[in-house]
Amino acid sequence: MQATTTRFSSWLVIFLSAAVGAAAALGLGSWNEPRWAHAVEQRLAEQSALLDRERLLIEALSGSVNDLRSPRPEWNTGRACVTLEQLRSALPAATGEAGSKDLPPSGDPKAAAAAAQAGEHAKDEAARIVESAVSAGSWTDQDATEFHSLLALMTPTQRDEAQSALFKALNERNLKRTGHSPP
Amino acid sequence: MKKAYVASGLAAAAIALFAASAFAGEKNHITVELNTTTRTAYGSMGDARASSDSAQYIGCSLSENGGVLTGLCEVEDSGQHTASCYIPSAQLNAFAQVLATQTTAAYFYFQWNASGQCTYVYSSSESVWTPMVP
Repeated sequence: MQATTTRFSSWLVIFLSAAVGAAAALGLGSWNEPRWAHAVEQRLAEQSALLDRERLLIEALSGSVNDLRSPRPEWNTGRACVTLEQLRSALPAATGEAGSKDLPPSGDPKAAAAAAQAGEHAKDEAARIVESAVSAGSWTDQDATEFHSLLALMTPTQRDEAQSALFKALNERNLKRTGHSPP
Repeated sequence: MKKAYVASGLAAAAIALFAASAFAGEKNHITVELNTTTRTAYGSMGDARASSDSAQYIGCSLSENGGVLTGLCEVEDSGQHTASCYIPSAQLNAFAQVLATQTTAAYFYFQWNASGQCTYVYSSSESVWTPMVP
């Protein structure tokens, strides 16, 4: 009887020890959980925001490329400018205003590369507008409006290059200003 | 009687001298000059506006569009030759400071390079320049 009682007590001690250990482990886990959970949550939010920005950028760029491949009938000017508004509205959100700076505020290299790529696209568009105006022999208010909209999407270096193309044309290629807008 | 004539003459001479001095002062009249070979232009805004031809103009401006600043200078001479240049992005802040001194009696001198960039911009608002009149 004594032996049975001793065995039962031993088992009870083991069981209680295990229960206390498990409770302590759970308690510690739940104590630590908010810290790592918060960090993971924050990291996930950052990654999600990054993915969203890149998705927006890709959508804007692919939309522009598709529009350039198949111009809409209403684009009688022969200039692919309709999608510029899409680009203009999408890019600041996509790049965190990186389109107007050489480096995005976040310093994210992917966002910087995306902004530079979008800027290159805008610069190409601007060059097309200048060439089209040279062919027509006049720089109209519409040309100026479209051109300046594109400048906002470029980095300062790209902006200088785009303006060089325009001012060289104005000075050397008989491109006459016919509107009231500034070049 | 003779003394009265002399006094009147002296008074008239004094008034004439005073009136002349009220309009004295150095005045520079420089209409627009444009040299596309040296890529240089200069002229006073007031003299360009007051010129007998309807072609001349000269000036510089700064604009903002979508959060982006751009600056330029442009000129047309009496022979209707035109030129313009833009301010490189890196120099826009300095250019804005130059333009901040501009008045309606301003003189501009600017140069540019083959890429259409303004390489030198001088703006003066000294009293020697002709003010613009309607």
